[in-house]
Amino acid sequence: MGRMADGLTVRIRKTFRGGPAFDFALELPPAGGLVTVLLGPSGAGKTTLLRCVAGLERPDEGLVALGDTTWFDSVRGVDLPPQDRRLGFLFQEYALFPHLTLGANVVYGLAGAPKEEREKRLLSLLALFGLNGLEARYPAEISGGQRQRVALARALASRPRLLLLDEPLSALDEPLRVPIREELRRHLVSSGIPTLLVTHDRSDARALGDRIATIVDGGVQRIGSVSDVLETG
Amino acid sequence: MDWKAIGLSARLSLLTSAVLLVIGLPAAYWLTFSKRRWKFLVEAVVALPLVLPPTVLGFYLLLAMGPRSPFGAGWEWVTGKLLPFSFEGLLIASILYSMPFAIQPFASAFARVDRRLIEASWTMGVSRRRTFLRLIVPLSMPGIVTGLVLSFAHTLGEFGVVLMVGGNRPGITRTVSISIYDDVQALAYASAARTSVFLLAVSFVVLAVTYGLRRSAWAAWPMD
Amino acid sequence: MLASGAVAPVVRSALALALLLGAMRAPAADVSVAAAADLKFALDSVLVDFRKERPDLDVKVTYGSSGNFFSQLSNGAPFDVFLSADAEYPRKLEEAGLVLEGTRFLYAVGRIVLFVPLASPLEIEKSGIKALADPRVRHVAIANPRHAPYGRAAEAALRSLGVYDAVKEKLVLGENVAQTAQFVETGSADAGIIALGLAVAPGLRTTGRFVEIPLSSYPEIEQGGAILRSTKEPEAARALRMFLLGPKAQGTLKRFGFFLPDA
Repeated sequence: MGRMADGLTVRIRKTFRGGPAFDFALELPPAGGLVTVLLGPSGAGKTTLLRCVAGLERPDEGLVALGDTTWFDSVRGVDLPPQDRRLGFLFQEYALFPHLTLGANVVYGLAGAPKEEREKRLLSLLALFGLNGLEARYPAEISGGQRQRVALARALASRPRLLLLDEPLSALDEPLRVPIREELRRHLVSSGIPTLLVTHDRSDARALGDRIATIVDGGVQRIGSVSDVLETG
Repeated sequence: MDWKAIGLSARLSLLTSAVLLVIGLPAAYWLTFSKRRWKFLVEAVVALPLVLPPTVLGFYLLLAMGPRSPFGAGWEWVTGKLLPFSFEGLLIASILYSMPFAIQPFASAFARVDRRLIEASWTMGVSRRRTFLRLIVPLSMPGIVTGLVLSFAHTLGEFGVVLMVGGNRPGITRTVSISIYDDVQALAYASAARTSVFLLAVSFVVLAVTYGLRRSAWAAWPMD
Repeated sequence: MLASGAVAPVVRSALALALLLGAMRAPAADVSVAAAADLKFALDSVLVDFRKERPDLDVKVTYGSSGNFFSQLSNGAPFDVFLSADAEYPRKLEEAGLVLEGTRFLYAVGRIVLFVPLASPLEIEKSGIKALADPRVRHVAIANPRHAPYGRAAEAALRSLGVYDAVKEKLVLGENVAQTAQFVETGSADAGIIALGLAVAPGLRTTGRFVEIPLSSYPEIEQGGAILRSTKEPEAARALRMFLLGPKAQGTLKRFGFFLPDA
């Protein structure tokens, strides 16, 4: 950690055949905040935007860049696959690999690193997320809250340049949401990694974000600090 | 009991399944994940052996393998041997004949793997190839085993195709199904019965063991 | 003028009568024949003449291996007439009581020939069956001796002419003599021993060359037939049998390479 956070630029257009059309323009300089929340109703396009940034969907045209690295540029014909974008993605239902232990899940992306390094990283992540002693269990055997922590640990394991979270709290039961939300906020801040987080819940947005971009009808409505957007919006 | 024929059939079935594993996995991968618009044509070709009468398949294979055809002539030029009536010729015929019985279960299993798991693997920097080996294949094991067992069993029972392209050579192309048929033709009913019962028993045991193992070992992951 | 009310019934009756007469002229009986594969072209030709004589009979032929038919007939397959490529199978059927009294008959004597594709480099006209020992010959096709009479004759000829050992490893067995011919015709086998009746037939005549194998080298291929006791059309079957033994049919058979049983 200790690296200057990079600014994210997203200017993309995408139309699904016979379906909705999206046109997003986002400039997220680091000074505006570490965690940017994409807030909007379902169907507005927040997840599509997130997936395009990740390289899981391809925009029809536009530009996606982090700092001075171009990830997608339709004019110059650049389209890096997700593997090459050094990001961390947390899926809505966590997408933990059922055939691997929690430990193996967490270090799945570190297969290229030497064994000792992997072990060290695993231990520090387990400690950080309070998962000590659970590394030999399987995803089917642990609780929803624990799974969320494993998914987050896994996304952070390879020290990504950008963290993407798709509705990180929606799969949790009501009583767990608030404490886990606070814990999540702590982890995001301490990681120091620029984060893009999708949610449709205003209180989650307030609790987790430094900056909010409201997404409505396939476009960005406004961007501003949490207080700006939520107080006056 | 015609042990030579039984051994030949066993060897043929095992080799056919082994080859289908090697070429079937990438083929099934392509069929499952490719977005080409002409994919449906390939799917139809793969499924052809399911609907073609084996004798039709055998008829065309004999022509395609003969020294007058480009493929047969090419084979002869490279290996110095003729393809028709050889074990290699029979192996090629069996691979084509049992192809859908391997590829279709493989492809179904791949298609059932949750797309988001695959995407998660990609976002963690794992290449498509490694994702296939570390994620898709382990999660598709039941389907892969099914494909192997089905192609083995299907080859073991092969008759029409062998009749057309085999030439009935003992130890080379006289499979157990041909041997039983020969016995019946020659009115040696007792011999036919002995070989048949043996084949039935062995097939049943192999299948039962395979499905039994599948039950305990692979059915373990509850879907979230 | 007939009253209009009377026309319709008259027309109707006339139509009915015409249909009835027409129905009477249609084939009154079906005769199903199980015939050896080597008879295909010869028998088809014979039947053209037979149908002219007996248009009231509809003859349906199934061609295949004599051994195959024997098994099926022993298990009650519903054929009326059996024309085998040998004399043994009909005899065995008679022993088993499956043949209509006194209807077993000998209709032809077959011959085997050595057959090669037209472009073959083998000099079969000069060396006859000895040409098979040539190292250029990689596959020799014969019918399966275990159950095909022409296959048995082929094997006997190979042995008595002293080429069997040289040829043993190259042997490829056809299910019946027709498949054997197909193996050679497609070029998969370099040479084959097949029935003369097939070699002279229009399909193969233009695609290959053949030489006759000396009659003394194999036992006579007496081709026997029989009417099955279970036949539902004994009169029709007898008519066919009689025709086959008559001069017209025997002449046709000879043209197709089947010789007459010696009187």
